[in-house]
Amino acid sequence: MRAVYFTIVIILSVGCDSGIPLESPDSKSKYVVESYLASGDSVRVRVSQSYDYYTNPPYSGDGHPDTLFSYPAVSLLFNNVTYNLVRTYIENYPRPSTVYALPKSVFTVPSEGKLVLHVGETYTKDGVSAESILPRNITITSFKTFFEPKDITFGFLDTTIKGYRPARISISGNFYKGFYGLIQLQKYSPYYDRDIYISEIISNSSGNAELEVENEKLSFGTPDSSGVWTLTVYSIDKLYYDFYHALQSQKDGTADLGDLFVGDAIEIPSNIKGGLGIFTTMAVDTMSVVIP
Amino acid sequence: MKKIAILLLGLALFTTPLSGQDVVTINGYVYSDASGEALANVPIKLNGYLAAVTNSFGYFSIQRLDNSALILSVKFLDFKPQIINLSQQDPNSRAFLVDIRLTVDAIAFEELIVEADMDRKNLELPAMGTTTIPTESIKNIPVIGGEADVIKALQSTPGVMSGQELSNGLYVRGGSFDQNQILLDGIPLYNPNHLFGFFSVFNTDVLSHAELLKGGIPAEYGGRLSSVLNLTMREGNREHFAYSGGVSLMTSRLALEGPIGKDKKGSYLFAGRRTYLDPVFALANSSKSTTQSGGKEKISLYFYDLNAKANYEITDKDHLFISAYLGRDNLQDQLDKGRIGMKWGNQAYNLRYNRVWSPTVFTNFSLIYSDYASEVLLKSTEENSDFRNVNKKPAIQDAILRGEINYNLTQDQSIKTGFNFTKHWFKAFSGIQETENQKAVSLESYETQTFLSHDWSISDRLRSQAGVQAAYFHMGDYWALEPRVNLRYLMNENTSLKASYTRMHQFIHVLSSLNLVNPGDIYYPSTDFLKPERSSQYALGMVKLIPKYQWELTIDTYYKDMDHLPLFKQSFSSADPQSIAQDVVLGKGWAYGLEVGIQKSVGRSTGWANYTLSKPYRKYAEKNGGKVFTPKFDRSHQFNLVWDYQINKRWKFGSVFVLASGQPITVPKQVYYLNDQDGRNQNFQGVIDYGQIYSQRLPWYNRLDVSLTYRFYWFKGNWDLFINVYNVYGYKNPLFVNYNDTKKRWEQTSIGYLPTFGVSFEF
Repeated sequence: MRAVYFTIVIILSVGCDSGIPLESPDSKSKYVVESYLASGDSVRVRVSQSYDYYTNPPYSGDGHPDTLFSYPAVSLLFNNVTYNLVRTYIENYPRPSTVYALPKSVFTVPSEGKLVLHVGETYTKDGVSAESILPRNITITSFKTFFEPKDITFGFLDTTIKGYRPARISISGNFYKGFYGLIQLQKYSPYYDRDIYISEIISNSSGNAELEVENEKLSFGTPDSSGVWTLTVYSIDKLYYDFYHALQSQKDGTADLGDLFVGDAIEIPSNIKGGLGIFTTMAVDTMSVVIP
Repeated sequence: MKKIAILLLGLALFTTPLSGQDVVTINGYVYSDASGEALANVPIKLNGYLAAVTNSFGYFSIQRLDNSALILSVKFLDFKPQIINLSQQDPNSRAFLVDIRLTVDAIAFEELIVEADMDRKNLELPAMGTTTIPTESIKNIPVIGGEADVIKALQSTPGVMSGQELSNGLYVRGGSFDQNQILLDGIPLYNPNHLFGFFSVFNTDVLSHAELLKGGIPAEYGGRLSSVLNLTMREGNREHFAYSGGVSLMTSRLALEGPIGKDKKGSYLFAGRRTYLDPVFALANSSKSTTQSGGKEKISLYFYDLNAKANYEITDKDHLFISAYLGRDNLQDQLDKGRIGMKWGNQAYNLRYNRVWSPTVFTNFSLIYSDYASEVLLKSTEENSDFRNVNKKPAIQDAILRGEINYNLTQDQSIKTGFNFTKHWFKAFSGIQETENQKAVSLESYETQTFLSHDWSISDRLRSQAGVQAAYFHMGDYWALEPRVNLRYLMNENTSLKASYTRMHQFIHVLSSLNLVNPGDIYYPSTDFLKPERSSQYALGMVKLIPKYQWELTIDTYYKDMDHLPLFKQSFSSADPQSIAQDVVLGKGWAYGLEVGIQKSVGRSTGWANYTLSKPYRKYAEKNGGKVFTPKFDRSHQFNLVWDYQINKRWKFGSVFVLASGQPITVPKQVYYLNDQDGRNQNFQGVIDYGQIYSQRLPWYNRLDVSLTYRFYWFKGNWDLFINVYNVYGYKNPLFVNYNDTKKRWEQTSIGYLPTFGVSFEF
């Protein structure tokens, strides 16, 4: 009987890997724009290039060839006034990108209105463009944190101590219906000066927000609940909401390449006409509480 | 639309029945003489013309004004033709109760069929886009594992696409897999698949026949956009106790049946089936499987299903039927640091009572319960795992009360009317990570449908079947009115032209990220955001009989548009109705096509050949940059050939050949890197830009399967010994496709030839 089953296994294993005459599509490099502008902040735009998937050069660290579109001209249009952005520095990791900026003294991101970005060989010629309308302002009226005791293990020495971690935060404010929020919670202490968590995007239809903080994600920070807790809420647009989730989904690998048995390929939405990436604006409000 | 409804109602109310005139009525049942089972879909001719077709209970009813000559003739599949001269029985009688018993024609394969015996149902009935496959044809089609499968058989019929290799997908006229209403003895089944879609849940031993309605769907059906698959279970042998079964490489099955009571007023049928893949996996586990961390991995996978049916003739006019189905799949993957488990299955019951009130009035009432549930279990012993203890059980349950009345108004007109009341219970989950906003969401809704259908032979040449269904869905407070029209024009004795219009709504959505039937699919009701899906289909066709060769030629062409088709944007964050609106996009779809088929159902050589041209499209504002794309299941051109040949009384040959366009596939174009992502977290992962989705095509698909069956008589029973080979010439059709970065080429994993053998028996 055993032999029969082995035979079945062998029969079922008849399969093979072989080449398949599938053409890889022709494609050209595109501008990749990344810019997240919060009202009241300075302007910062990162520009890089995309690569052909099938000839993508391996990472070579410093000394990697510069951007394909060497030093494009980047400009911002607001209220019929054009501001030419200044090239500041080049980052080579993980791929070359050029950061363009404007000092606050020249231009501060407003709280309302439409911003139009242009990236091209010159300030006016060809290139790619994007526009973003600033979301409505929001105001945090209160926020509370709820703590629960936890045994917390620190990886370095594998020591376990008793402590508190936020289990939930509750936020109230004048959030309007259909609000997309990005929430950040930070804690400052005499010993640590790092984000303790949170960066999460929510969508909200009620005007209030309540978030559960997953303890597993708090891999650093103090176990002591006392200190200054700072909450930052960004009101973002729907594009950014979809962009963020699409990136997470693609990163999670919910659609493997070419596998006929998995789902649709995760498309990353973009508002860069003729290019890739995102140009988005957001309203922001911050509130701090001190817990003795 | 209201005008059509009023017109139909008027026709029903004001058409004068023939009562009071010199009317002759002929009604009764058609049975198989060997088993005593009622036979559905049997054409009954009166004086040489098709006068009725038996319903799913084997009942027929005919009215005539003229009783000068009443000659009934019946020819059905391989049963012996039967002619009954009622005029000779009692020339003065006005009502004939005729029960017809058909005997199997032992010499049918000798090609002694006469031209007049050709089945003229498709030619003469107004219904179009209907494919009927008897069980015997299903059993003759070679399949992987030797397990005859009705879905696989239907995949070789015109207008039906299978999706990917090995899949039991059913994509009808450009519709998605979830747009098919699958009814087993009238019970809706939500996931008709075992083993992730490799086998269907339908045990062929218990099936009488399968009927797929692709267009011109009668008003009695509703709730799905693209098709109705009607599967009728056998009633069981009413003459004597009998058993049958089979053993193949993957499954064993056994069916028991027999009469109820000494007076044989009823019959029963019990059947069970189970795979033995679990010991195969156990052997495989002991020999090679290890996890990435070096530990042992133990996989167990099996399915079973049970069917039961009983019927009892309370009086000559009252029949009671009970049908039941229970099926389960179980996958367990024991890892060194946890385990993954999946279970899924249907359980379904139907209690039916039908009564013949008079020779012209037949009623049927059903009480139905259908439950589809799956369970995903993830347990990890790792400290920081997201899956430490995940246990999710998405489900859908229906309780249905249904009633229908068939009324023969005149010799040329009949109506069918009825209602359907359904209470739905939904339990939906989102992704597998358990967080506060991903708790189960339980929803309830009810759905009601009423319908009226009117069949009218307007003249010798022109016949119509017009109807309307009105539907209401409680969640979202949706009303829908669905007109249905079928017209047939008989051009000459052997040629008819047909046209149809079908409007359908679908209130229950399947939220699936995989584009194929998946045990974890989420069934979700229509809500304020998730509007009911709807479709309109326009079809034109022709049926031509070629009696000389016993061929039936059909040509159908159609255009179908669909709206409110749901699709995940990226992923599923929460099953809450408000979150669904963030995660799902609604779009449009349309499809057109041409189907040409030729079929031969009787004689030594039987089978069908068909060509399908299919052009389905989808458009979503937030997918593919708002541009039109072809869905993954599309195969623009498909040619099928199914050929069975009875070599002699002992040997039978079967074959299936498929040639089809390759499926669309999405491949990457560009890759780029984001440094700031959300302004604070760097993301060094390459982001893939696909450009257009499904813009490339896989190579053409082709496959030939063959089978050889040897029948012998042993221990007072009939035994069939069979061997079949899937993909006999080992053509490399893609099962999985991936890009090999080292070799800089696309590669595929494919299945070579797969031989299977087994035995089946009948006592």
